[in-house]
Amino acid sequence: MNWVRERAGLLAAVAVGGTLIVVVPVVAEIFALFELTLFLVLAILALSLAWVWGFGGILCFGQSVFFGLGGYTYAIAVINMGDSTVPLMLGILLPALLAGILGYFLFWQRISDVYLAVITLAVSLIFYYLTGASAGSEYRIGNALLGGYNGIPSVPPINVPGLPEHQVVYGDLYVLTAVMLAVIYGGLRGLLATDFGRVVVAVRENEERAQLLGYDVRTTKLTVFVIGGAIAGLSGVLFAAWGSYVSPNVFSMTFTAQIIVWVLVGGLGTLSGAVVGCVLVQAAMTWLGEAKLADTNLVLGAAFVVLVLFARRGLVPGTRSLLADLRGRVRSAP
Amino acid sequence: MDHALVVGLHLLHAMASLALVSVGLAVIFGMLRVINFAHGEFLMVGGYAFVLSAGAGLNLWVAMLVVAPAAVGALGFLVERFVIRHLHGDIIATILATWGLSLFLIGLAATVLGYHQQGVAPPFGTVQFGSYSIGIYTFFVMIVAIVTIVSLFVWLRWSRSGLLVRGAMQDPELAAALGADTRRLRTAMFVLGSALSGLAGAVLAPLAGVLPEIGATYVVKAFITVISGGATALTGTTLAAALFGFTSQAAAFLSRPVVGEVALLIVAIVLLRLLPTGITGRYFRKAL
Amino acid sequence: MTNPPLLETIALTKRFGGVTAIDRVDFRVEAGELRCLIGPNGAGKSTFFRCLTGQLRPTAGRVRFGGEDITGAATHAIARRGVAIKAQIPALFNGLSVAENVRLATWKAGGRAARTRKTDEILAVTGLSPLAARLAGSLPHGQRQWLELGLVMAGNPALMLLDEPTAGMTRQEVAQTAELVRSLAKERTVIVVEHDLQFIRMVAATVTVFHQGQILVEGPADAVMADQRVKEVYLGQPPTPGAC
Repeated sequence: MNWVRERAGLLAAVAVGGTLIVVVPVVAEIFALFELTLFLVLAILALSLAWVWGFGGILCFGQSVFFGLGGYTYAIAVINMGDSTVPLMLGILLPALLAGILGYFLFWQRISDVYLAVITLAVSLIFYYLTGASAGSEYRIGNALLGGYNGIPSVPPINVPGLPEHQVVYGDLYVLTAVMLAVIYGGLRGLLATDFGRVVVAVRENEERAQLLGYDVRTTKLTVFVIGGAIAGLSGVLFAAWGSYVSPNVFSMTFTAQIIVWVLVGGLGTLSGAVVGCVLVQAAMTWLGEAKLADTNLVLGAAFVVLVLFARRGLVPGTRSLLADLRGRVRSAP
Repeated sequence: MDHALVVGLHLLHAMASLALVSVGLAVIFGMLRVINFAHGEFLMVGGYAFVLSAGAGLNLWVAMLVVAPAAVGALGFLVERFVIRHLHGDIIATILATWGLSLFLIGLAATVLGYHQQGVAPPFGTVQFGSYSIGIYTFFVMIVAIVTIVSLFVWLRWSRSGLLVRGAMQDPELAAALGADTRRLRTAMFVLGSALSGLAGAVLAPLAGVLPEIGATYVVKAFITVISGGATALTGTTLAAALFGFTSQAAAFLSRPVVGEVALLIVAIVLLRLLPTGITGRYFRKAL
Repeated sequence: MTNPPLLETIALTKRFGGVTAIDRVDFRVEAGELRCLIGPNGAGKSTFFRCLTGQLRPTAGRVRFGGEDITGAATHAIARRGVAIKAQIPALFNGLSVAENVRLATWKAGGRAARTRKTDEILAVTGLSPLAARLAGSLPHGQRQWLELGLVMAGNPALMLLDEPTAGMTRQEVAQTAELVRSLAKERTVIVVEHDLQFIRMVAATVTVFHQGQILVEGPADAVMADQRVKEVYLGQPPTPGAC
C-alpha cells in the first residue's frame, strides 16, 4: 500500500500514458486524432523547455529556435533524400549542435538571466527574418524551395526506416508521437534521479555552492541545454511531418511566448506540468478558435492575467498542494 | 552630396524612432525593473488613440501630443494598480501577466476595430534635396525624440522630484525610511513610462500605420535597446538606440531591410557578449 | 630541501573601483596547520577568502596552492584541487533535501555505495541524520551552519576555509564547533575567520590579524591578544580614517 502511495504520481502517469497510446487511436475520430497528435508533438517541445528552464534554471526564450531548425532541417533533407530516417536524425542533431555553439557562447561568460533570455529571443527572431526573406527561386537547397513567409509545403511524412512506401501517418503517427513523448518524459525523469540529475538541480539552486563543491557549472548547463535542444528539434521534426509543412511562424515571437506559457501554466519545476499546460492551453485555443464566441487572444489574455493573480504557482504544483491539503484534512478528521 | 545628406537623415531618423520606441520601456523596465511584455501594445494603444481621435475631428496635434499619452498613461495606471502591484516584483509572474495583457489588448483592439491597418497621412508634405525627396515629418520625429529625452534628463538631473525618483530607484528602503512614498512614486513612474510609450505610438503612427498586432514589431527591439543600454537607463537607452538605429539603417541601405533587422540583433548579441552588463554597466557609470 | 607551504599568497591585491580591499598580502600556511584570521569588520578577511577560492579574481599578486600557481583559476577547478570553504552566510541548495545536499559534496568518495556511506557518516557527525529528508531551505540558522560544515567536510579537502563558523551559535555550540575544528585540523589545514576570542583560545591556534587589507600582526594567540597595536585596532584608537 505504501509502495503504491509513494509512487502514485508515476503510476498515474503510466496509466494515463497507456490509455493515451493504446485506447485513444481506437476510439477517436480521424480529425480528433489529428488534432491530438499536434498537442502531443507540442507537448514534447514543452517538455524540452520545462527541462532547460525548470530544472536547468536556464531562462531560454528561444526554445522555438531548436524546434524550428529541427522542422526546417527535416523538411529540406527529406525533400532531397526521400527516405526520412537520416533527415529525422539530422533534425535532432543540427538543433543539438546549434544549442552547443550557442550554449558555449552564453555560459562561458557570466550572463545574467534577463540577458540570456533576450539573446535567445534575438536568435529566434534572426531565424524568423532570414527564413522570411527566403522567397524566390534563388533560395533553394537541392530540391527544396525555402519559400519565404509561405514556408515549405508538401513535406513528405516519416516512413518506416528503409521503406519509403510505408508511411507513418494518422493513427500510426499518433502512436509514434505518444511513444516518443512517453520515452522522453521517462528518460528525463530517469536522468533527474541520477547523480548528474542532482547536479543539474544543484546548479539551479545555488550556482556558486555547486562551483565551490567542484562542479563545473558551465559544462553542466551546456549539457542540459544541448539535451533540451535535441528534444525540441525532435518535436520540430514531428511537427513538420505532421502538417507536411513548416514556415517562419515557428520562429515568431508569439510562438516562443506560447511555449513559455505552457510551462508556466503547468507549473515551473515539474515535467508533467509542461505536458498538462501545453495540452490545456492548445485545446482551449483551438476550441475558442472554432467556437468563435470571442477573439482567442482576448479570452486567453484575460485568462492568463487572472491565472497569475490568483493561481501563481501553476496547475500541477497547485493541484498537488491542494490534494495534500485535502488528504491532511481527511486524516485529521475524527 | 544630396545622396549623402539623405542617407544621413535616414540614419538619424532610425536612431530617433528607436529611441522613441524604447524610452517608455527605459522608465518601466530600466528604472522600475518591471518586465512589461505588453510594451508593444502600449504603443499600439497610443497609435489608435491618436488615429481615432484625429479621425473624429480632433486637432491633429492635440490628438498626438495630449490624447495619446493621456490615454496610455491612464491604461498604465490601471495596469499598475490592479496587476503589477500585486505581483510584488516576481519576475516570472510579471512576464506571464504582461504577456497575457499583451494578448488581451491585441484581442480587444481586434474585436472593436478589426484586424486591418488604419492610419493618418503624415502632415507637412516633403522637401526636395536635389533629386531626392524626404518627408518633413521625419524631422518632426527627430525633434520629438530629442525633446523627450532631453527633458527627461533635465528633470531627473536638476529637479527635486527627479532627485527623489533617482534616490528611490537606487535604494527604495532607504528612500522609504526617509519619508518618501515609494509606492505612489512607482505608480507615478509607471504612468510616466506608459504615457511616453503612448506618445511614441502616436508619433510613429503616421509613418507605420496602426493595426492590433503592430506591437510585436516594437517590443523586442525596445527590450534589446534598454537591456543593452545597461544600468543607467536613460543614457544607456539613448546610446544603444543610436548604435542600433545606425547599424540597422546602414545595413538596410547597403543590402535590404531584412538585413538591417538581422544586423541589429547580431550587434546586440555581440555587444552583450562583450559587455554583459550593457553599455553603461562598463562606461558612463555616473550618468543617469 | 623543505616542502613548499600548502598555501602561499604573494603581494595579493584586490581592488573594487577605488577601494583597496586587500593590499599586497604575503601570507603562508604550512600543511597541517590550524590558523585563525581576525580583524575588525571590513579588514578584508572575507575578500581574502574569496580570492583564494577563485570566487573573486585578484587585481594583482599570486596565489600558490601545493606549490602550484592557482591565481585566476576557475572556482570549480580550485575546489577540485582540494580547497573548500564555508561561507559567512551559509550557501546551500535550498530546494534539495539535507541528504541530497551532503551527497552532492561526496563525489570524491567514489562509487554509489561509497557516496551513500560517506553521506550517512557526515549526517551522523553533524547530528543531522534525523533531518535528512527535510528541505535545506526549511532548516533553522544553527542547523544550516552545521549542514554547510558537513558539505565542506564531505569533500575531504586538503585546505578548509571557515568564515565565522560560530556566528549565531550558543556557548555550548561554540565549544562543540571548536572541538570539531580541532579534530578536523588533525588531518588537514584549516583557516578560520573568527571574532570569538573564547573560540580562538579553545583551538589554540596561530593568529593572523588583518587590518585595512593588510596583515598587522601574526603569532601565537596570547602574544597577539597582548599586542598594543591589536588592542588599538579593536578599540578603535586612534580612530581609523574612512571607517563607517
